[in-house]
Amino acid sequence: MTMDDDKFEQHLRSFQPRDAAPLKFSGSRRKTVIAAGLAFACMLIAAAVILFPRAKPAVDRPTAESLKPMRRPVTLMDFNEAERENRLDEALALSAAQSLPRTDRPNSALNALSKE
Amino acid sequence: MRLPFFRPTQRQQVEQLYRELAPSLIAYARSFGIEHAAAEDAVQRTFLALLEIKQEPQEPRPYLFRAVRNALLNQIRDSSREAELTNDEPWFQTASHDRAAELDLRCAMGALPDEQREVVMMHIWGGLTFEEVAAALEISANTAASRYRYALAALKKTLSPAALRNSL
Repeated sequence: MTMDDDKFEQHLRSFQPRDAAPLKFSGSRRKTVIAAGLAFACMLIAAAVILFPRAKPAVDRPTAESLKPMRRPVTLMDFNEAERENRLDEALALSAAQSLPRTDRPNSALNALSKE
Repeated sequence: MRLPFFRPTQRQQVEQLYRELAPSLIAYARSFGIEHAAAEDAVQRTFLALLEIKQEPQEPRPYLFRAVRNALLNQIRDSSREAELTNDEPWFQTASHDRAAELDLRCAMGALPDEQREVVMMHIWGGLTFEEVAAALEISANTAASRYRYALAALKKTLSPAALRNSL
């Protein structure tokens, strides 16, 4: 290197590269936060699965035995029908069991019978 | 997925290195013909990658020049475009020099062969020794020094004689 070369190098070095913007960590930080959030959510789901067994249902599943047909309640029509067909004992029994009025017809046979 | 948890000391070291070397690395990246913003992005990405490697490089300066060089060569290859050295944005600050002197220097650098230009960028503005330049470019130190001498001679011839008279 000659003296000229040294001076020429100095001349070149007198040009300074342009300043750089500050180093940004934002991209990596965002990735870290997202990764941590996902990991936390996975841990919560795993803990919930392990710690809380499946709850027993409040109502048992229906079985063949539990599906019996419901008995129709006795109505005044049943009573009247029994009386009309002269099944008076049955009509009286229905009346007594279900606290039904003896009759809704004053001139009926049952009404006459009960007055006797 | 690897979580980038940084050690504070490592982060401080990287920030310190960035403050020291980023301007030179960006100027070096510009010498590949890419725009300033793209050069700055490439350099920033290189430093962020440095935070995530497990073993810190023993010689970070040549390592960083080499990493930026590889990133830029990949980028230029992927974008399938010829590097243009004539874009208008300056490589150097022009506070103490006029724009014409900066442009002269840029054109003279652009006229150098690629292998000579990167040796000059690393040695003059990156502050790398010839051994470090050789490590970054995977050549011998003698080859690096030889390329530098040829480049210096070419620059002397090319640069405006008036500008040189003023500076010498």
